[in-house]
Amino acid sequence: MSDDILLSARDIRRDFRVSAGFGKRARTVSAVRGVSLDVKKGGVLGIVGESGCGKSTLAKILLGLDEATSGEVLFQGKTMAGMNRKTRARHIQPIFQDPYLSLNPRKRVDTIIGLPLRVAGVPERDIRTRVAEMMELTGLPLRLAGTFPSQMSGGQRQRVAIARALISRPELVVCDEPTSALDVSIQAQILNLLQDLRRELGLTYVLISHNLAVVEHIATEVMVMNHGEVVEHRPTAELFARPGSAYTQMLLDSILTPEPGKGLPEIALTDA
Amino acid sequence: MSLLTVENLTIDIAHPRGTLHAVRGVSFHVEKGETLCIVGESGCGKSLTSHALLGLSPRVAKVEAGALSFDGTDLRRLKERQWQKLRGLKMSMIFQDPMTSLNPSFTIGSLLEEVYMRHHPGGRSAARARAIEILKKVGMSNAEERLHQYPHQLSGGLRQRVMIAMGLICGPDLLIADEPTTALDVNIQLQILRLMQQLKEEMGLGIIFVTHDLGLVARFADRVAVMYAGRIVETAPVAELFANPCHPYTRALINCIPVPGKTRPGEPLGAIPGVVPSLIGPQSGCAFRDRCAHATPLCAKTLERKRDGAAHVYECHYTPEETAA
Repeated sequence: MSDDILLSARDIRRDFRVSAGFGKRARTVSAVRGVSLDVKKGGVLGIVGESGCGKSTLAKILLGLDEATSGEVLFQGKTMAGMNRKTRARHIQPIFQDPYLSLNPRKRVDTIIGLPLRVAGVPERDIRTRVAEMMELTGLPLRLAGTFPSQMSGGQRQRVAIARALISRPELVVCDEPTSALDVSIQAQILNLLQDLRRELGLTYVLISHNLAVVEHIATEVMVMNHGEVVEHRPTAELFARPGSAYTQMLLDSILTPEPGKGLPEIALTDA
Repeated sequence: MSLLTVENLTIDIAHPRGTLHAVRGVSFHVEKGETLCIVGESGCGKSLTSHALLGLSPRVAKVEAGALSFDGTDLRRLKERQWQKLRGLKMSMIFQDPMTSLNPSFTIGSLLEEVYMRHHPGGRSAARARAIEILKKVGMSNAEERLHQYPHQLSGGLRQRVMIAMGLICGPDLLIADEPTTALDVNIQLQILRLMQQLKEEMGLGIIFVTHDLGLVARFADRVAVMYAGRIVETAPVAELFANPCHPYTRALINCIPVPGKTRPGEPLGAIPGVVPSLIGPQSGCAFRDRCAHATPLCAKTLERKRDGAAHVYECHYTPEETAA
């Protein structure tokens, strides 16, 4: 395996047993059906698809928050199956969709940001300096260190989530819809911040989103998923210029770009 | 005469630290067969405004208006009983989240029939027939069967169709939709938008569509009102607004969104620095001034309404040439 692959997944499958109701036999639903992917070091892999396509389940598996039914995840060529959670957390960190839910409302901001270091056993004095560094890097004024998440705006909360994800200096950050709960002006701030941090810290992202315009803007490669399977996986510019499948074409056509006069896109719609 | 006229609508909410001026003098009108999109970010007052049009403001809100008339009726004088006669019959609302706004313990049939029977004396069978008709109209297959299903048995897109069917069952003249497609997938969103457009053309429906999605606005609206911190800062026909945005906030908002083929991948987006100001306590001047690169001391003192053509109005002391980057 070449050195520039940071994370790869081999034939990941995740089945759920779903009860069909009292007295009925449970059936199996496959959320992810044999997905393989490689994430290049320093790149941004965008994963797109409609709700229920398995993209969030896949993200959880990459993060180690859920276990695949079969298949394996390799980090820098080594399997992650036996890796303990603390080691894993040093390499891979998450940023979730809703900063109103992903931050503990009873902890102060500096405690939230410093938690990954505390878990790793870093001395308290070092934690304080690194929290301050991180807050500066993510554009959070230091005076907010003692406040609670409820006293902050959505954009500030997402900055806290980003600071917490980056403080243990992970190589890979998995962002699951990082801006979809935010206003557009704040979305732009956060996207710009993620870009700057990637350059400065040499980070690699997996970006999960249903917003294709955001993915086009940030991702270097895009993987399209449908019904738990990979539809296609190609460099972003290529995929947007020449979509390789009818499904991708449909997704691209359904982007509502701000071009008045064009009206609603004329595309064949699948039944709801 | 316009279908709906709103003049100088203000909504104040009592707050421990003073009065919260959530909506601060909003005026607009909607014609029959027209879609007005109200666009703005969270907290700009767009939802409060749309709820006030149906008399659904929270009890703590103090709503006042210079004029608030719908089809010749002065809405300001209505008692709750009179509101109930109007709502659902002449004007109705579709809420944001179909998952939480449908009562889970009633079937689709009884939800729809209730709305109809409230306004039409006569038996359940007439209501049932109408319910089937409207479900077909909103494009639901096997309508008769759907009547016996509960909301949890339907997908998000179908639930939103049921919401729309409930809104349209009495054939209203005005439909107010508060972010009805935000929780839906892109192609379901398209289905719902197309449906609303088709109903607008067939029934001459006036639509007020509240959203934060500028892409949607561009493709769906006839006219647009941009709200910021409780005021409409700019209003114009949709093509005009995007071709010639005059208010610095409108321009900044348009520059914020990545557009495939237009914005350059990887390049910084035009983020708006800072945050929305607090609307607690007395307000003066332009609320956008702290985030605006072109603000001058004058902006803190007063507001100025400017006109650029017959239907394009914006609130800024400076012309777009003067505030161009």
